Amino acid sequence: MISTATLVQAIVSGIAMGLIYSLVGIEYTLIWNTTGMLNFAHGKVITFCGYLFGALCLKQMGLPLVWSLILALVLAAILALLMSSSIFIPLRTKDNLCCILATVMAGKILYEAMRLIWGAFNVGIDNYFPGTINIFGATLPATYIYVLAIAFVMVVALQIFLNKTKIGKGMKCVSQNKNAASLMGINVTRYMRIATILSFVVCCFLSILLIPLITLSKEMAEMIALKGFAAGIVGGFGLIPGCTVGGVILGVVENLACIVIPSGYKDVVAFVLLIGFLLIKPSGILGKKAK
Amino acid sequence: MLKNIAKRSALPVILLIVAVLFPIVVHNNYYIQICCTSMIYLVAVYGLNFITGMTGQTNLGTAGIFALGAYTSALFETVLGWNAWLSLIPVIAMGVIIGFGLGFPSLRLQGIYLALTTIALTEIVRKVILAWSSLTQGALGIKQIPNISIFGLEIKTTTQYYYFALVIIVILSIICSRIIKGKWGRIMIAVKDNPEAASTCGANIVTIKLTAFVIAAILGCLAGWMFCHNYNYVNPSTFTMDMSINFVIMMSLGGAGNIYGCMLGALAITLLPELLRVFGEYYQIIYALIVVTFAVFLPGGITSLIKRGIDFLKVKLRKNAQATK
Repeated sequence: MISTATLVQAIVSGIAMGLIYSLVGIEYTLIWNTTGMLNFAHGKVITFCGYLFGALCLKQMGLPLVWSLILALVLAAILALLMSSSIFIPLRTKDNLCCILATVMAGKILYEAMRLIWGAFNVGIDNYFPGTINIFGATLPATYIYVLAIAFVMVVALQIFLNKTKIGKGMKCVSQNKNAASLMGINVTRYMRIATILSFVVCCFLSILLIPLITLSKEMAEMIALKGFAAGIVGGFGLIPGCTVGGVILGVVENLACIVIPSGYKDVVAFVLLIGFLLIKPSGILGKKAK
Repeated sequence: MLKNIAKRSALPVILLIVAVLFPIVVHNNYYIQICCTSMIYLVAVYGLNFITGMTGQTNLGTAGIFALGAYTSALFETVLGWNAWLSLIPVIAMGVIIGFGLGFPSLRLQGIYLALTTIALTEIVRKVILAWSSLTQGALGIKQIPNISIFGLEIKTTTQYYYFALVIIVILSIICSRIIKGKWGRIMIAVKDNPEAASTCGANIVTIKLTAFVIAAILGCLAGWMFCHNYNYVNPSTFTMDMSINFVIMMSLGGAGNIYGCMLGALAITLLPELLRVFGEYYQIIYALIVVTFAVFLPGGITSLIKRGIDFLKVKLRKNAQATK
């Protein structure tokens, strides 16, 4: 029989991981909606931001947490400007395959840059979310609670930002109809740049949440980046609320499935869900009609 | 008539002579091994060419197909003790199964959705191979896969394998070029360019998509079969998404929908690390930059550039001829 403690542990850590998948989903959906390109480099971007924050700011420059965060965000925004003007904007009308190749290779360039700058080994960073917490008899690392709280705040803040502010509404217009948006006097490429910057900022936050959960290594975001796609498909591709719902469902289902099946198959669950949803309900849980 | 045949077969014959003479002229085993690898990859690229290059269905799961082919033959040979030729039957059966398994979703899904499905397939295959260690020995991989033997002659050395792979490549090149130039190939291109128009003209989109997927999956599995007999060892860490992307790069760098383009791409991408070795640590970055440049500026690949150059020369020559008249 499964004890409540295991169940609580599975659900809480599942929601925490799920919110991370949601943020991954939101991060690539912002670029997908405005430019129509899927950023296959996003795992590498998350890792790169993690290295900027952890290896460069915290370790090498010895800055305090807040200042490291601010500096990492600024650097991520610069990277976003570079990538949007070199890849996302020039390639947006091109063939699907070219877009995929270009973004994957951009990821490879980031990966190699990390290897050349910070060396081939992992970087050890002290856990900045220390301690453990007790809920219903289940002992959890406090990291999960911090991650849960921060990710939740970020998801809510992003929803408000995208729905209430002028920039958010502008991005919505661009994603709905580029021609009409440009006829209404919206600078489409400018909004593409803004969306990329916002996406990379989310990546930066994601990496900061990930470092205490998994150590800072060059492969840390590979799996999470791929599962982010599954989160988008489950919730509804191209919908920001869809990504949130999909991510949380994915995280919880994955952890609950782990109680039943051997843990080696944990990563398979997300991809089976992805294929299953695409075959049965391609529009996802929140999507209204199939595309 | 005779002139026409000579004109058409000049390029393949020259290529074949170069390929046959290569191990005789170059004694370095390492370079022969690289050519073997590129020929194995070429088989998978021929397959990918049918789905992605001609029918226009984005497939980022070639590594998964390749892995299933390699593991099927490796398991049948090491666990059941089958002979390499006999294990070709389950390998091809596996190809047919994957072909239908991927082909049916492709009838409903398009573009990026299909790409994600195929990525998911690769990841599932890799993770299951890793986790099912009682059968596949997990991350350790399967060792001591027996060599292929033809009528008692065991293919042991790299040079022997080179000629064996060359024979397969010649056969497959003839088959593939017949398919590309034939009815199927034309319908595939029509489906890529405009599926509605193709179906209005009487092309059966369902059958042609399934055909493309089945051919591609069989070729992918065949490549896996060749791979595991060349290295005598398979390991799940080889079959990542990077490998699938490499196949796509090979196909589009050379030029999609073209046998010579595939050859050029497979050879170039396997040789490129050797050529770029002078850059030392920076070679991966330079490689990535080259591919990005190609994706941005030359989506048609190298063969499209050559074709454009030949057309340009022809027009110029004709103009010159008219001017002299």
